[in-house]
Amino acid sequence: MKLVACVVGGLLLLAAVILAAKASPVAVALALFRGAFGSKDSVANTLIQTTPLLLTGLGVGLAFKGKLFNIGAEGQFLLGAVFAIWAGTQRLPAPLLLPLALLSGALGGALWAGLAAALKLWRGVQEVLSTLLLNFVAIQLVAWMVRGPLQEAVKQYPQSDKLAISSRLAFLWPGTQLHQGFLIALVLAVLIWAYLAKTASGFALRAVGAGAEAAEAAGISVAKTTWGTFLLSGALSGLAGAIQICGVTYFLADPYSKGYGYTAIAVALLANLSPLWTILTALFFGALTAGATEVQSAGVSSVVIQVLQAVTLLTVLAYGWLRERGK
Amino acid sequence: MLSLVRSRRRVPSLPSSPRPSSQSWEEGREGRVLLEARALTRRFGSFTALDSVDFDLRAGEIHAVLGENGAGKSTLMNVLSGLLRPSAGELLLEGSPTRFDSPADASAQGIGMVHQHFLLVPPLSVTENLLLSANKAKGGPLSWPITDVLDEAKVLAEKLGWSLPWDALAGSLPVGTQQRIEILKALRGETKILIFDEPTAVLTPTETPELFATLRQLAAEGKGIVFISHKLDEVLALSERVTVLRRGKVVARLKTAECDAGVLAEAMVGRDVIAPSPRLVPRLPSSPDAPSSREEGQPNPLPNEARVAGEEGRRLSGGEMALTVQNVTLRKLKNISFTVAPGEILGFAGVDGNGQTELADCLSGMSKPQSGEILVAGAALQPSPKALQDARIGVIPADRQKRGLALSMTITENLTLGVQDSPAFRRGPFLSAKALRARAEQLIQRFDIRAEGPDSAASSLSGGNQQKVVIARALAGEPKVVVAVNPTRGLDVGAIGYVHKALREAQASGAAILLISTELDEVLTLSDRVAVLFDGRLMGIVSPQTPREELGRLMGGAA
Amino acid sequence: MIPFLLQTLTFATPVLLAALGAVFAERAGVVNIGLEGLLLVGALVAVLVSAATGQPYLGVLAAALAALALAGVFAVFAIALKRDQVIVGTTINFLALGATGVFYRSLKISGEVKTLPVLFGDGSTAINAITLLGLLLIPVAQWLLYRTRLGIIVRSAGEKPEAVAAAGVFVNRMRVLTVLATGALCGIGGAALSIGIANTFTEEMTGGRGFIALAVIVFGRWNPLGVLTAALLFAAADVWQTRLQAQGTLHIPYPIFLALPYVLTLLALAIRGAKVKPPAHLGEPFEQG
Repeated sequence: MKLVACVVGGLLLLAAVILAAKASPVAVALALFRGAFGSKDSVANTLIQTTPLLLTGLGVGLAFKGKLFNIGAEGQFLLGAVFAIWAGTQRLPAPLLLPLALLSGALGGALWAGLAAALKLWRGVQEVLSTLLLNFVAIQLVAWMVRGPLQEAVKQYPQSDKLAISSRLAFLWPGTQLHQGFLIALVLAVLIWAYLAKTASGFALRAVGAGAEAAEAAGISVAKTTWGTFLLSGALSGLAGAIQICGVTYFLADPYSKGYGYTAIAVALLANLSPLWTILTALFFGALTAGATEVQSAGVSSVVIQVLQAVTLLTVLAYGWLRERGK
Repeated sequence: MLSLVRSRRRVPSLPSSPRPSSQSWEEGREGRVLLEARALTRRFGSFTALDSVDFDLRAGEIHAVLGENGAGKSTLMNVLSGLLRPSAGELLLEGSPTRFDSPADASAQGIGMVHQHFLLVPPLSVTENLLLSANKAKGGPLSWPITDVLDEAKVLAEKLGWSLPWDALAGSLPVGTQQRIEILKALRGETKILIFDEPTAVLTPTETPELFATLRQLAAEGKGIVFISHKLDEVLALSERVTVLRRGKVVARLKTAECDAGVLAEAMVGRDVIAPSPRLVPRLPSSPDAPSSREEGQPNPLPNEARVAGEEGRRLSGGEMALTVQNVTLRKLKNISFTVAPGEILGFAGVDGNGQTELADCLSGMSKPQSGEILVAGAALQPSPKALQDARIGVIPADRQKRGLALSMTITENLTLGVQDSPAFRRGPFLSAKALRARAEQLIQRFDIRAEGPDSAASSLSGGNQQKVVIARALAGEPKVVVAVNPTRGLDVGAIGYVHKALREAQASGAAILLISTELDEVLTLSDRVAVLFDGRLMGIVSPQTPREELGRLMGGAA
Repeated sequence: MIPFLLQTLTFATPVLLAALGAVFAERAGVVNIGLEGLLLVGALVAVLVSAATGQPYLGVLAAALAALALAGVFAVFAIALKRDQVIVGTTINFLALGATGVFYRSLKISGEVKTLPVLFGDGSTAINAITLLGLLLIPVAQWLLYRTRLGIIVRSAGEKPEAVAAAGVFVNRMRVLTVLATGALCGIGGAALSIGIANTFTEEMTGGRGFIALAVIVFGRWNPLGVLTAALLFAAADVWQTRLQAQGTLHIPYPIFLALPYVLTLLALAIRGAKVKPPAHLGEPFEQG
């Protein structure tokens, strides 16, 4: 009941914004649906959009679970893309390149998150600020890379060379662009769930999130756990960037991200930080992102998706409040 | 008389504070009634915290409200100071019915409150703190009536004979001085009634008589003083009348001059009190019953050796010390040495803030000593939570909600804390959920943790049951040493009895127990020997039968 | 030197105004990650209203009101409903980013965007009314915070809210007030950006200034004078890189210049890091008894 009230409230707010932008909410909704599920291609596109959202959502969710406000998934995603394109275009035996690119991507993301971890643990800088600022640095880093070290050989456009066919992720659904990265993301969602629920290390992460002092007193090293959480969280977002390179774009351009790393926050929160629920919420936001391509036809900018994200979050927040109050 | 009352012994009045005979109750009765509560009742859900309480306060008297933790003292005080609204009953202020909508409202009607936990803003200066709570009539939000406020405060301070550092930051001052600022805050021109909530709990023994002098002076000026305490000696020394609360009801209303500690203690704890947990027969073959106080082979003889209760000292035959602390220094703590034998309870007494926190930090592995050594069963220990687990030291930390429990986790998960690395509950990187759950269910039963089930969140438990979870964790591994820090703070009588019983059982099974508590009664009841801390130094280790005057002197730093 | 300083002042203004408001909010115990969004809304509304009415000052007023309204949303969720302040702030940023994008594209800016009149100077050294306002607000803020009862209440609300409540002040009302004031100031700051500096609106034009403002507060140790110093420092770096770039004297790719303010901020935080102490109860909701 409360949930229904919240959702209806959210929808009304959304409709109001669309109306104020002189468009029809119904037309926008229909266009969204058409864009997300209207055809084989659009369904595939929904799943393609789901993939980075799921991985970054898992990363953000993991960090939040450990009470670390890592809102730098965007930057970690970008670093993952940079590392992946760099590794993927090395002169190495072809079979090595794809796994190397993916692993490098994860490493890049972990490094970027590791900076925030070091700042927090060694210098007491709040991760909220550092991860945010690192996002902006990452954006400029990409801009520089595609104009400098990683620019295509012909030096014409600000973009990198393309990955060789052999180092790309294979297609999953014949006749569409859906790639194996989607499967990797699904498998990781299950793995992260198992990690949190079943392993001692995942238990330590949750314990530190639930009460750092109690965890420390019980012999769990909060510093080590914080490092681990940051690195794992960053690696997931970095892997998302690498999969985007190896499965979707095949090259690095500027700007590169559609803001997946920010949407990831909404994805994780809507899933209540549960890895398995994250699959569904990533699908939801993936559908919205895919649908956004059609929204323009209804006379409203595709950035309306951002409003939708915000409204979703407000709905989640309001629902959380109602539930707490009901107790 | 019940044994608990006996254990409280004869309680002398504080030596420095003879009760003035000029302010007997008969005279006090002539003072007009300032505040009266009739059939005051306050319920929290189905729980009745105050049950039809009658109370009155006259001008010029000090009226003590006595009761154990959870007897309803705080609730009464919160109702009288406007923090809580009564569920039933009425309040009369100088004869006319009134109500307090908020603390500010009560304060505007002339009621000042001095909280146990000071409401001072640490990074603000003394003057700014006074300004924060100054009467609104002194100017609007954009005004800066600092000279006005300061002048008024200086007059008051002078009258009380205080000189205060007006420009110092409140957080940098000694506790006693902070309390004076709180008193000044509560004492505005129109304040007629002052309520003091356990005002001596945070004070050093030298500050206490000074506070009492202040209270007497304020009463002599015609103010009515409510003095809330659970300390018999203070009530006897200070008040003219005493109202005793038990389980939310008034069980006695007495003239202090006509009663002694025994009467008050009996009224306070009643007949339904849980007797102090009897000493269990230790299972140690070599130590039939003996508390030990002075050990052979102790490398650094204690200071004040003479204080060691020699007549009680009986050495455990040939037993190795379970815990040896040698010349440990950490922050406030200076060069502390002592030992605890298996099956012994060593209690640490002292006013809060005299090194207990540092000692507890060392012995719970949260801080490493700056110098000195800690030995467990003769082997040196580098304190860390992990090392403590390996050495089988169980810790009951002071702050159970922060350091003891992860409140949002389940009982099972909280009981998993501390054994997450133990091979018995691991399969490679995985935790063995089945084994952990079985263990949790077993501990829930053994320690009588009342909960819906092992998957209830720790936050859903009552304080007593939360503490049982903490204790279950500390005692589950049959520890060789138990470090218990304020283990009964904030618990009700039943839970306190339970905690004491659990410690006794651990003692009987041969654990060496270090009890650090600010509840002197608790330390004296449970301990075989009592160590006294003052200003980070060990003043001596004495028998729990030591007269209280003597203990008081030690706690006050007199050698 | 003087032109450089004047331009620095102009560049510093949006960050300065946002940070000034947020100093009060943070002192009162509220951390607002949504400054970025508030600035952005101010920037767009100023352009829209200025273009529609031809009155730049009306644009500034409208910007202040619009950002104030958005700050109201923050206040409802973060203070009244006691939701996590970081998450609510992030949501505000989404909302602002999306809404400004949608409205910017659908409500095509009609007519000429009247920019703020230049009070004195010209070109890159021109000073407008908002820049002046920012400067004037520094002593005002300093006075409010350290020489009024209101300031004492604000400073106490983030350090020991119980003490404020005991003094008969409603802590949460106090906090809402500071959040709304932050909103209004951010709106004006956004206007300074769009109709003062850039003379137009572009999507995401705030480019992280809201986040830099948060860092400036830490760097300036939560007091107005410190915030001014920090904001000027960052703006100087910004101006310096713009100039070097324009002169083409340094052959460093421009993205590195663009990253400079963020890198500097991070460095500053790392250097100041452990030494700065935020208000003790920053970010914690308060339950008035």
